[in-house]
Amino acid sequence: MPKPDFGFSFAPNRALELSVPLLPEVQAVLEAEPSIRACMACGQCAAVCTAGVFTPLAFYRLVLQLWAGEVEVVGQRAQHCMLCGKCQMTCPRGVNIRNALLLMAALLPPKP
Amino acid sequence: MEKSAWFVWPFMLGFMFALAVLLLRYLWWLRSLLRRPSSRLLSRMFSKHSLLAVREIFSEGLLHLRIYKRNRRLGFMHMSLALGWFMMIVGGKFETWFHSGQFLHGTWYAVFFRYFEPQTVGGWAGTFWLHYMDFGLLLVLTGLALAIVKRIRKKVLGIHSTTRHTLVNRVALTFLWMIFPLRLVAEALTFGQHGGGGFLTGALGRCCFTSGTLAGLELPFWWAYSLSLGAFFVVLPFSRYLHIPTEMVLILLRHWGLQAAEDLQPEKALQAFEIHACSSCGLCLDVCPAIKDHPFQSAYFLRALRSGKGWESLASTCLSCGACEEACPINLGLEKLRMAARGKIHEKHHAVYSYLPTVGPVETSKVDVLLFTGCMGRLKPATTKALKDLFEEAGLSWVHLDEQESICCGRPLALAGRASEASALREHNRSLIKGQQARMLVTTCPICLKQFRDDYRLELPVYHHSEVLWSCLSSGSLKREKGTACFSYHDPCELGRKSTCYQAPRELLQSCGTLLSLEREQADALCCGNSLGSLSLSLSERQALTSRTLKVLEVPGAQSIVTSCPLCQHNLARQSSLPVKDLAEVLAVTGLPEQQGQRKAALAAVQEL
Amino acid sequence: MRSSEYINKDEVAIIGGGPAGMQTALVLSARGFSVRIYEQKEQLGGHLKGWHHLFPHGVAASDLLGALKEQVLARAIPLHLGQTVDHLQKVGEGWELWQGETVVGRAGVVVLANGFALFDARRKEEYGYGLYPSVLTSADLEAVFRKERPWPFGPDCAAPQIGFVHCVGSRDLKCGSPHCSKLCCVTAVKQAMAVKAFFPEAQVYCFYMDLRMHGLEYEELYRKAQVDYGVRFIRGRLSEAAPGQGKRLHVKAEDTLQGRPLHLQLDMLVLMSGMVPTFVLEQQERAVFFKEPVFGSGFVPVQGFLAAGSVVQQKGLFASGACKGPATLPEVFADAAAVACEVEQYLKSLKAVAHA
Ligand SMILES: Cc1cc2nc3c(=O)[nH]c(=O)nc-3n(C[C@H](O)[C@H](O)[C@H](O)COP(=O)(O)OP(=O)(O)OC[C@H]3O[C@@H](n4cnc5c(N)ncnc54)[C@H](O)[C@@H]3O)c2cc1C
Ligand code: SF4
Ligand code: SF4
Ligand code: SF4
Ligand code: SF4
Ligand code: SF4
Ligand code: SF4
Repeated sequence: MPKPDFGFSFAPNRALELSVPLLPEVQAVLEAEPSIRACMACGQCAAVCTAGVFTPLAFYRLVLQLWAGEVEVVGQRAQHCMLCGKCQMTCPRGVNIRNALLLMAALLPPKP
Repeated sequence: MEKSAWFVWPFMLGFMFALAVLLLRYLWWLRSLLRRPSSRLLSRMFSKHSLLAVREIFSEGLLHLRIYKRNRRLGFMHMSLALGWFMMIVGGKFETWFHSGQFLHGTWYAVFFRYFEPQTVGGWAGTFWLHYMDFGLLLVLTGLALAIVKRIRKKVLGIHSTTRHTLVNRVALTFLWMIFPLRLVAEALTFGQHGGGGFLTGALGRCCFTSGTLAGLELPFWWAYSLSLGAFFVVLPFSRYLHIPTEMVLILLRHWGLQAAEDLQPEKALQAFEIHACSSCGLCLDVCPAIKDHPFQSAYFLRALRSGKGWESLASTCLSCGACEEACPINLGLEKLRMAARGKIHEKHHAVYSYLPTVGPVETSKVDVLLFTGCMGRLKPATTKALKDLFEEAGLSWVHLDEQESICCGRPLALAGRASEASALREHNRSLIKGQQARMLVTTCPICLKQFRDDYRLELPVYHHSEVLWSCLSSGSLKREKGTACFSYHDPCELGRKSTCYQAPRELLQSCGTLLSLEREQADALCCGNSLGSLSLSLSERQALTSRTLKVLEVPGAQSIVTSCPLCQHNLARQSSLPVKDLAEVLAVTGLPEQQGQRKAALAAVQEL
Repeated sequence: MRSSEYINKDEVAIIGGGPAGMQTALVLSARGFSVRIYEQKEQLGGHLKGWHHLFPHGVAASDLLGALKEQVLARAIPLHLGQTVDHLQKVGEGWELWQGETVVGRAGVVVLANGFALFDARRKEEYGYGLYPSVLTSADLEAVFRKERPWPFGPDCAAPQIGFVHCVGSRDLKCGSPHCSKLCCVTAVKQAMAVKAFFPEAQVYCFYMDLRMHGLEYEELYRKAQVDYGVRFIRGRLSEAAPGQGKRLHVKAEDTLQGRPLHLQLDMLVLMSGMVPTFVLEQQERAVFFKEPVFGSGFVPVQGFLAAGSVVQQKGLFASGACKGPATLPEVFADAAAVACEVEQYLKSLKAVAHA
């Protein structure tokens, strides 16, 4: 049945629904690397990122997006990481960023 | 033969069973090879390589020389068990041949020979065989005694950690431990009752077992001996004792040029033999920096691979420091295996580097050095500056390849088991280097060094900065005078064990000061704890490892700790109470000849203004 | 065997002549106790003597210090300057104060007021402190304000670009200091405004992780810095400092609110070094040693909520001021009074026991 056209439309709801449980794949990533939870979004990892100079890879943003359930973007951006470990060296909270990115790229593969 | 021979059956059945299972397993592992035998393998099979293999089997499978070199008492234990048993097997064959004049017999005949022929002596040659067999038995029993001591008090054997065994291994161990004491008693009983015997069994028989009332015990003890042998053989192919035959086959296959696969195939080809050749000797435990916190050491990792359960986390946590590979007496390719396992875990990981900038044609002016400081180098401005000062002093011209932006060399990906994904990174860096007219590539990061050397196939030689500085010192283009400075030096895993560069840093430090000796250094050095090699070790565990390493480095008298890897330096510097410097930083300001020192100070003062 | 008789049980020794030490001494002296101050430097004042003006009202540090010193003089509190106490020895109920091999004092009660140390910014090599002359710590900048050192850029630079980095050596597990130093945020705001007052054309940036404006009127100061002084606050971390154009520094950072990396050429980079312990207490039989702090050392620990300054497991040993953790001057002064009360209670309870 075609959608009725009233001559106006509502914008889709942008709000994050926190009462809905986390996606299972998000939970899997968090479980496999619990230190992700320690991230305070300080941005140090992005400031030093070797890949971030060329591509919008910023680990703390992937963490935020992971919490928001935006797994597509996370999986796709995580593929750009070189695993060089510079971010992990400087992270003040000791997040195992390399492992987290490996897991994100492996467990949240973007649809081809 | 008048005596009842029923008791040999447990042994025979067990033995046949073991043989059949081993044959099947080995054939299964070699299935692909049998289908498509490589010509290289066939040509090596009938060449000196097979002889070399036999020599290695003898020196490692029997004499265990490598274990002996690391730890004499432990080596002696392994040697006495293996060599003694081997002597008895070979001796048994010759003894029966000598006495019966016939070479071929049932396998059981030699094993239980003395039950059937207690009194046969056969002149001085026969006496020789009697004593020879007793000597073999004595050797095994000595080894056994040491093994029991090792289980109870490991320190006596000079080790700190022994592997914890699974049930099937404990069962096998129990039967193994029973075999030889039972043989001793059985033979002694026979000789006691019927006379004869060598210096051990004969003497024991004469002093304890001559009484006629003990005659009834003779056959039961031979039964028990046969039963324990049979039981041991039945569990052998499923226990760690599978390593005994497997190690020998592994040595052969290696000499025939077979190489382990890059991906994880624990039931296939050389990898299968490697995984099953580990004797759980435990040498990899004591050298591991993380032994007290985590049972992920190679012995446990291989065991998990054999059982197919739980190897994932063990593979991810390890620091890849290479200490166990260095210590392993059968030279198992442990790092490669671990990387294969990591590759398997992250099989679905896929990297995309299409965003990398293309490198235009490079300007080619002739320089001495292409300097590559790597990603971590950017966090170490003091090292880079010091190195450039030293180049200047030595009259070397340089181009800093990655001064503005750097692209990772690719080794960190390889350490995560994703070497295959790194080709785009390598291509990028290769195009940076190609076309440059330089004498050498110099890196300040040992991780880059290893990657460039092993995987880049560059046309120019690759050096670590310590090597270049040392050669400048030897050629006289850098001059240093020994001063009062006192250093302790931390060997980075990637520079030491992985690239066997131990001397250059030491020569540099000794040229300008005193280098202190440490409890663990060079190939035995501890990892700093910050290795890129570990994927999942937590920060607190890493920091615990670092403080343990610092305990070794902070020896009395040390004024500073020196190292030569940006990661090690970064990590140690944050945690140590002593200053931690890179070699280049130290050399740039220490031991300068008088006048030069003054000139430098004056220059610095001018720059300040 | 030394008897405890020769120790005057009512006497209080204060280790450290900074704001905390002076104030504790003043309160105790006003309440009739005999106190002495042991200070390792040749002058009283602690860190306060290195500051130029104070948040939030801009009071001159020298005025406050002058007032404190005057009172100390007026009360004729005995001073032992240039004496670094390195361990205490328990004798009976009291203490002997030791410097190396010699006893420098005796007292019934000891109050630690040894304050804090600044995190050694050279440990963060990537920021280039000690390597590039234009990288300063917050304490160095106070010295510049006090005209004790020159500005790191020349007089020709009328519109300097200046960056402040928050949380250097604080909130950083890798540096062994997980705590927030609590007052460097507002100090950065104070200093940013001061720099703007010196160089109205300057462009000033503060790189923060969180802005912790916990004190009264701090938030107002922050707003003033934004609106009246044009200081720009960027939520994000600096990656590394590298040589830039001319004498400038090139810095890379992430603006986490924009979600984009940024580049900047700076004439001066100020590192807000965190506050770390000066020493750790180490019990050896009946002696308490003051040891060099090691990685991860904490501040002096006190007993629970209700105690202001009784040091854990040490009868007759108290701690006052910033040696217990980061604190501002008003907090230090309030704390000093509370600790003085606790000391008084303790001495009274000893007397009561003696009478009974
Ligand atoms: C950059 C910066 C700016 C600041 N600005 C302000 C501000 O504007 N307003 C504000 O309210 N607060 C400010 N503070 C905080 C303020 O400096 C502290 O609250 C105050 O200095 C703490 O006083 P204290 O006496 O506890 O410690 P300290 O000032 O550190 O004094 C300790 C004293 O003990 C002495 N000592 C140490 N060990 C021994 C020993 N073993 N034997 C003898 N003597 C010893 C030391 O020499 C020192 O004199 C600032 C802090 C910093 C880092
Ligand atoms: S550096 Fe660490 S704490 Fe900071 S944003 Fe990145 S992951 Fe989070
Ligand atoms: S490991 Fe990945 S995310 Fe971290 S700095 Fe390197 S490229 Fe960036
Ligand atoms: S891996 Fe090597 S060193 Fe470790 S137990 Fe096995 S054989 Fe021994
Ligand atoms: S590589 Fe190093 S950390 Fe890993 S198991 Fe071997 S010795 Fe232990
Ligand atoms: S090896 Fe180390 S320094 Fe070198 S490029 Fe890779 S991560 Fe960077
Ligand atoms: S007060 Fe601000 S700058 Fe200081 S440590 Fe806390 S958050 Fe960081």
